[in-house]
Formats: sequence, structure tokens, C-alpha cells
Amino acid sequence: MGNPENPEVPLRRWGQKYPELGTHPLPHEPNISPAYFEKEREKLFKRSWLLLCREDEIPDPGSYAVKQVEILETSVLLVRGDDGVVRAFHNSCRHRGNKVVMGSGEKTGESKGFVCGFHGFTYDLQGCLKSVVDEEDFYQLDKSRLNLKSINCETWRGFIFINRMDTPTETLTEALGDWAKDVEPFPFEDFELVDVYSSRVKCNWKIGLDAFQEGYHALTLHGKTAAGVFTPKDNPFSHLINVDLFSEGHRSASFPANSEFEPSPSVMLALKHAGNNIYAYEAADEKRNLPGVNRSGAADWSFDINIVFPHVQLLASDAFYVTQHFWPISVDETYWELRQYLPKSKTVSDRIAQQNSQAALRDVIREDMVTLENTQSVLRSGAISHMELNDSEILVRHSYCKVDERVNAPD
Amino acid sequence: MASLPEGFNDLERFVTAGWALPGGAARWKRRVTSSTAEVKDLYETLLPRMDEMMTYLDRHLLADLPEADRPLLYLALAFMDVAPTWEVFQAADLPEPAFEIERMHMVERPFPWEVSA
Repeated sequence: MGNPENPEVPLRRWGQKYPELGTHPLPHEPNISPAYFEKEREKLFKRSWLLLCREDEIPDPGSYAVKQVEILETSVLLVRGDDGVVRAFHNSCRHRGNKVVMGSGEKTGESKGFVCGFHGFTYDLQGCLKSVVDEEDFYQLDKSRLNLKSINCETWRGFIFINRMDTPTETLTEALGDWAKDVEPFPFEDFELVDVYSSRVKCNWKIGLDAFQEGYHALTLHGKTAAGVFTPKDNPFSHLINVDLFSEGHRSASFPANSEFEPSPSVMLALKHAGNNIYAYEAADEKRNLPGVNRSGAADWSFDINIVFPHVQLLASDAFYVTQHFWPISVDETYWELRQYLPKSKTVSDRIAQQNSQAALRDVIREDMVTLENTQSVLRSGAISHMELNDSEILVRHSYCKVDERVNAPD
Repeated sequence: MASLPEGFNDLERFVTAGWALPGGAARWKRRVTSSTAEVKDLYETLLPRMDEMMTYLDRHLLADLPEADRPLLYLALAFMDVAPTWEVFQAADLPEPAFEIERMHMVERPFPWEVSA
């Protein structure tokens, strides 16, 4: 297929699959403009189903979690009711608006209900106002109309999504579209959470996400750590081996594995005694070939990157899955949270092998994370107005395109 | 008093030096505040013993691991924590530039008795 933007230069592999995305440099304006950020807040985040967390954060009736979601300008109280149903509320008392569960950050716990610490208004796990201190002193208090304000909340495959609209324009199923059908069979329940990392990072949320939706950087940034695993001889620049971009905004890509990669002594120990490691791939004797990943069926596959639009990365392989949230705080600040899940450990060696995967991932992530603030801090100067993107970075292009589509949609 | 099972007494000095820690965050901190020589000693001494350690520990399933075996498990975990960085860089921590450890707030999970107080 010809390149409509530059007939002299033919489209490369993924450009041919998605020619409508174009090949032009993209403006950095969306990463530094406060006005653009406010549009993202109003037209994208406040109108989308947002992946908040996994259900296992609130496992039992009475389990609750508080999430400060700056981009929605609210504190979200997630509760599992006596009926087992997960509900989301604005964490704000119907009396005068104080936080029902107080504190500035994230919080989890178990409760039979919630008592506002300001004047003692009491709510049950379903968010219903049950009692008011000195109720007779009010004039027209109708308790039945003063339940906690709910936020639309739905789950998919153990993930909790919220939608800030009063009446969402689409269901979660509609919003997830065909992407979810592809990933649905992945056995998330066979993995367990081993580590959670978080930080406030001085960068735009898209700069954060961008660093984790291409493999072009592996050779340079991870030159000594992970590059050897993902750069087979016949694909030395780690070109993507599959790309699926979805109209709803989600996207997936598959990365190659180097079958000649020689595992380190500690990885060999993990493989021998536990049979898995995040760098196992070709080295593992028995590949698990899980459903919901490696859609092209390539033999030299390592892992998939999924972006759950707009702001969450979901990595999935035979040996791990990882979620990374990039929650916008302001145009140049992001709350980052990473959760690493590994195959459930049954034997002691399984647990020991997990520790190897935990330390290996931590190193690679720290290499990735260092680019975020470095990038943002120079973008602010305005000296570099555009970014150049190659065919391996087509997910980055898709990301800006889909955000822009929403930001510039008619009201 | 020896804290490691019979057959692993020669590794006792690593327990004494504070390497047998419950809790991933403490384990990570122990590593990155170590000298290169200390990490080299731990890695090179434990590497040829890990096979034996893992085989010994696998006499029980993780959920049934006797308390007496825990220090040996903690040493094995310390080995696996230092290994990826050591095997690539022969160092206790990543070379700069890397995202600062102090800014990476860590919540550790797996097992109650593995989480430091």
C-alpha cells in the first residue's frame, strides 16, 4: 500500500495495516498544554470507563478501598457489600461533604459500615444513610434521599471499572469492544500479586504510558538487562510481531523472543526447580501457551502489551502479568502504580523463583521510569515541538490519535 | 545458636550478617546498602548451594514450611534478589541513571510470615 503522506516512502508493516494513522510527526502540545489537559479531564476521563483496580483488593463482604482519583476530582470509596456486590461511591458525606473515610491517600480495610468522622453520619456497606446524630435538630432531613452518591461501577475478568457520567453513554462491554474478547480467556485467576510499586512522577500521563508501549527502546535502554531476551538474530531491533489497534482506543502488541538467549545461572535454577521465570520464554521446557495472549501464534513470542484505554498498561505472558496505571494528576504530574502478578506459588521453590522474577522486573522498570521526568522536563521548554515515530512505535501514534479524537469530539 | 538446618551450617555467617530477612522491601534495602564485596560473597557462595537448598526446602509445600526452615528460605530469597543485578552488572544495585529507590514506594505481598513488621 502506498503512503498517502509521503508517496516516496512505502509504508512499513504496521503502517500498512493501519494506514489511516499516517506517518507524520506528532505534536508534543498534548503533553505540555494545561488547556489540553483540562479537555482530557472533561471529555475523556470524566466520560470513559476507567480501569480502577482488581477485585482482589476488596476480597470479602465489608472490604473497602479508598482511591484518590485526581483526574475525576474525587475520592472513590469502593466497597464489597454483604451481598458480595462491588459498589463505588464518592467518598463524601451527604451532610456537608467531608470524606467519610478520611485521609489523603490510598487506604484499604474491613468494615461493617462507615461513620463520618466529622458529625457521625453513619452509612451501611450499600451506601445507605442509616443514622444521624441528634436527628431531631435538623429541619427537613429525608434520610432515604441522602445515601452516598454512587459512581457507575462494573467488573470484567476481575478488574473493576468506574464511569463518572451520571448515565454512561455505553456499557463497559461496549467500551471494551473486541479487545476484551481477545484477552478474555487469559487465566488471571491463576496468578497472585507479588509486588506493588507506586510513585508520583513529574510527567504527563501520556509520556509515562508511551515509555511502556513500544519495544524500540529495549536495545538501548535495556541494553544490558533485558535486551538480549527480546532481540532474536532475525529481528535485532525487536520489531513487533503482532499489532491490533481497536476503534474503542484499546491496543495490543506482541514482542519477539530470542530463542538463543542464554538464561543466567539464577534463571536456570528457577526453571529447574519451579519451571517458570519472567525470562523463561524459549528456555522453558514446557511452554504454557496460555489463551488470551500471542494472538498471531508466533513461535518466537515473549509477551503482549495491552493498553486498556486510556491510561492502563496490561502486560501478559505465559509467566507473568503486570498492570501499570498512569493516573493524571496535572499536565505534568502522574500517579504511577505497578502491580506484578506471578503464577501462584505452591512449592517453596515456586516462591524462590518468584523472587528472581520480582528483582529482574524491578531493575527493568527502574530503567524505564528514569526516562519519564527526563523527557517531561525538557518538553516544557517548547524547544522540541514534535516527536518522530517509527513503525515499531505505532501504539504511541494510536494513543495520541485516540485521545485527540475524544478531546476534539463535539460536545 | 545455629539458625540454619543441619548441612547448611557453613552459611550461618550470612544469617549473622543480616541477610536472612522476611520481607521484600527489607531484603532489597539490605542489598542496595551492601558493598560490592558483600554481595559478591553472598552470590558466589550461595550459587553452588542453591540446588541443594531448594531441594531441601521442597520437602514441604510452602504453606506447610516449618518455622525452623524459614531462615534458609530467606537466604535463598536474598540470593534471588541480588542475582539479576549481580549477574548483569556485578554490582549491588543498578548503575545510574535508574529511577531512585527512595521514590519507589513498595508494598510487599506474598505470605504473612514473609512480611517484615
